[in-house]
Amino acid sequence: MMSHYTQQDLTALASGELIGWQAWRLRAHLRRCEACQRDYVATASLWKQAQELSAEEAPAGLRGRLDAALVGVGVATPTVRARGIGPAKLTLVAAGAVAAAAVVVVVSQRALVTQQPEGTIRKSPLRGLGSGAETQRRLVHDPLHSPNTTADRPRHLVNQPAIIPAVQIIPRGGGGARKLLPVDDIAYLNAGVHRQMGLWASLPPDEVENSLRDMSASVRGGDDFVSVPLPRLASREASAIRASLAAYRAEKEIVDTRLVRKVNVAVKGMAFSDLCKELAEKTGIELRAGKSVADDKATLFCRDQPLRDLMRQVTLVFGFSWRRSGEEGKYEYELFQDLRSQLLEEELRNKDRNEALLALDGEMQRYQKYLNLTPEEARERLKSASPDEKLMLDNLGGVGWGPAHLYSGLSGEEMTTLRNGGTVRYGSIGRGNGSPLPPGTAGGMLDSMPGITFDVGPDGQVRAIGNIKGGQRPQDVPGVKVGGSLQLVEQELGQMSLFGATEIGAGPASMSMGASLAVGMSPSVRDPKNGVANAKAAGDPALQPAVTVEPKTVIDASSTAARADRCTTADVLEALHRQSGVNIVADYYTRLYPATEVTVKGTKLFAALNRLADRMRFKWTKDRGWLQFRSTGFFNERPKEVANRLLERWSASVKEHGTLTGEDLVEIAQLTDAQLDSASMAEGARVLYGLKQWNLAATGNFRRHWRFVGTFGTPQRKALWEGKAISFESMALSQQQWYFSATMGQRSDLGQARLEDMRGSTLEVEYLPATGAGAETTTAAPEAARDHLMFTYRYGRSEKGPYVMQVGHFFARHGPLNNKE
Amino acid sequence: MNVEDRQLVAAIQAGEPAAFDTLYQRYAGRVYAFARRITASPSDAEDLTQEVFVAAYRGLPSFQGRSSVISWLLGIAVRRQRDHARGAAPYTVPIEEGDGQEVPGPSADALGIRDAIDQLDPVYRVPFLLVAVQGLTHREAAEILEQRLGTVKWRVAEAVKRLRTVLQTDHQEDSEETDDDVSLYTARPYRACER
Repeated sequence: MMSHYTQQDLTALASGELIGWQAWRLRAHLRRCEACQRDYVATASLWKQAQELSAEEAPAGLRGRLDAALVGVGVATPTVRARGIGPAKLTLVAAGAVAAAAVVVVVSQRALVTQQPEGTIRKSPLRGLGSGAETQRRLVHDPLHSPNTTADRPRHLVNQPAIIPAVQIIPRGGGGARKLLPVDDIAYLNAGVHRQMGLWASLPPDEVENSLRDMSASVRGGDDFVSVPLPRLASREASAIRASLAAYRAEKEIVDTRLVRKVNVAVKGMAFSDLCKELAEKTGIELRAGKSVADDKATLFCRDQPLRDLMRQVTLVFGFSWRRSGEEGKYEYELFQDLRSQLLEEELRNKDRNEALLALDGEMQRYQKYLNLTPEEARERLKSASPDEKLMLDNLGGVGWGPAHLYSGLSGEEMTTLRNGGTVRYGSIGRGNGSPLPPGTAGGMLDSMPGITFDVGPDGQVRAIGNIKGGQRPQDVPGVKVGGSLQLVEQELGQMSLFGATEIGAGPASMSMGASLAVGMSPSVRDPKNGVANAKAAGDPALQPAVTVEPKTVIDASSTAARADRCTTADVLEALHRQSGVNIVADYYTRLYPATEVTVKGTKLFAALNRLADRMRFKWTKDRGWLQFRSTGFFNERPKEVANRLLERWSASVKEHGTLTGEDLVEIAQLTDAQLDSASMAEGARVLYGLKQWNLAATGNFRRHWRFVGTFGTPQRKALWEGKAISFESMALSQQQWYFSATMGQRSDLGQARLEDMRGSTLEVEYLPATGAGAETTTAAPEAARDHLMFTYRYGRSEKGPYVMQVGHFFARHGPLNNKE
Repeated sequence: MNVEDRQLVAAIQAGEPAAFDTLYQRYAGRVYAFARRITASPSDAEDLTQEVFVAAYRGLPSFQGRSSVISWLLGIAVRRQRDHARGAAPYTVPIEEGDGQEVPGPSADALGIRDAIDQLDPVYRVPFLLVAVQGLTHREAAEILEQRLGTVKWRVAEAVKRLRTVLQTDHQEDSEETDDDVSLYTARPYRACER
């Protein structure tokens, strides 16, 4: 019988305080238990409603009363007058022609200023202390509240000249006067930068809102600035404080009129470093991209737009900020990503990984209703299965049967191991001991490998396992053992795969067969649902005209034949801009789509946007005549994207040498795993830049060997390219250690290996890229047209000579040297 | 305490006049909303809010920053209100219930829940307000209320359970036009936080 969670658990989850495995487990339970799910939905909904009550607008008169009360606490002192500040010095801030003005008032103890309904200023010693008579009485008679005693003053004010707090008087109606103030460039450019990131993100809203609420708090407080921090005061001396505050205010009020210069921009997937350079040349204003964003790419199309607007759109889409430096008239601007934005991105990545894990778990839960089937029954049912069921029944009819059962019974600890990238093992076969198999699964696992037989010698020893003609069925072999393993692999950022293996063995012989059980990807990233998200814009007159978007397709640079069926997101947006004339700002990550899937004809712009954006995994929104596009999984795609400057350099090398050189491949292998694991980036590198040997560096099989080669100096690498070997003795200690662990360290059959055994070992690399038409790096290509790559490690000694480890296309093997073909 | 709050407190402690203004703008709405739910009238809430900020101004020089600023402010509010209840001082009768100004308020659902919260026994209401409404952690609420963490967790959960019952009942009443008695949750004036 399924047990239920308590209200306390559900409340803890709704509050966000239940984290880690406990939260994960509860969420997994919610997927299965309707009753708890119902309770949780009600609790979460209640929680959300409750949060709406967190703040109310404080009564209008409260601020004035508080100011008066603070004076009573002893903030204003005669010292102020002695310094020459008058009893009621008023400073009018807002434009004179407008009645509703923001007034900054400095008050003394004799002239208390309180807010009046129309925004006027009245002097009254205690007026406005509130309607609560009790409070009024306390404030007047309570000695603790009596003014002007040094003892009552806050400790930090006792030994220094008093500073009078500025009282801001803002007319009712909320900041009408504030709007009349000139908006500073930086405030305008960076407005809502973190809030906007939340719009692009695909997280549960409460999480995002919490993060953003916390972040936006930093930009409150009477000013609109984001990148002008509160002054850091090194001294408590009053004049220093006043000076720094004055500088702070002055910095806030800068408006650079040069930024209204209009620009025309049409760039596709251009790096910000290049974009800023181009804009700087066009406008004469110094713009640059900081290191943190220099390689990020953007797609921009606009006509006659003020530079200021363009810069602002960039911050809104990317979550980056502009920083100003220099002197008046020569201000310089630098685009950068602040730490807060970086952390938010990281948080989004973590949350998305959890979503992907949950999606994968959801996939695995679908197996539940078939777990009562034997492998044979599953095979039988597969014959008439719907497409939706086929993959599952196929797995259950084969070697996936055991792992699927093992997954359903994982303990919390085992699940944690899986999530952390470890392998969970059951049974005692092969490498080490695993947990005991759950009762009743061993028989089923044996049945899940129907074709497997054992070759048993006359002495009863198992010589081989496989599809051996005339071999014995596992069930008939004495001492046969079965086991299984599960492994969770993040194939690329945002995509989780669960692999399971069934193992069988007797004595020293064993065999393992695996299956991919399920793949999990965050559903919100996969399906942005733009129609729903932008429902409010459905009636926008600007989005009603019918458009036809037919993107120009790219030429496959890796092939001599034009493959006119693929296009990038930038190609689609370019076509959209040409058709609609709307200004466009978008991020750019390498993704290619069949042209037919991103073409719309005679469709309303609103519907076209939804369809195209959904297909290209974009979220779109409209802001002041601009269409903004942000990739739904930008936080995962950003680490995968390779800089244009690198791709262009390798592309130039291909043009020069006709192929990627060994040096290029060494360099490519130095990219991060996230970049090299990305399938879309690999496709883009081949199709857009002609780097057809990309996978020779990127595949896990070769990557670590290229990286090892990269640790050698240029002369040694040059020797390798000339077909010469590098000797073990000439390697540095760290290189020798790597070499040893990659070769001898992998050979359990050689017993206790020693460093002396490595004497005379060598490394060779054979790289013969295929050139000419039809050259491909695939097994399907003809042998002559294939790239040839082989890492050869000759190491140790056997009776027949040194051992050899060769790592070539799609294989890696160890053995005596004479086994080499 | 987050970085912004830390900077803010440091600025106030350094005597920067605009910083207290920022503190007020940042938290007055939340303190007032909390005060509204634990006092009998808007004017009491206004008084309590004012007291909180006056006390905060006086206490800031010695504020160690071991808790968040909002947690500290709400703690002051709870203690002040508890003191008032103990002193049995009569509350002033509200003279004005509002200034008639329309401001964007919470959704209809939230209004429903507001009434339901007001009906809760303070024993459950105050922990719920601190955790669910104001977003404090259970631990912060436990420290403010000087209660055990487990007690606070249980009371918040119990409040949720009761609110769900009341809201469900309300919805049923709306739809079925019945007069089901929900006297279990009738409004009672707030007296003191249970220790």
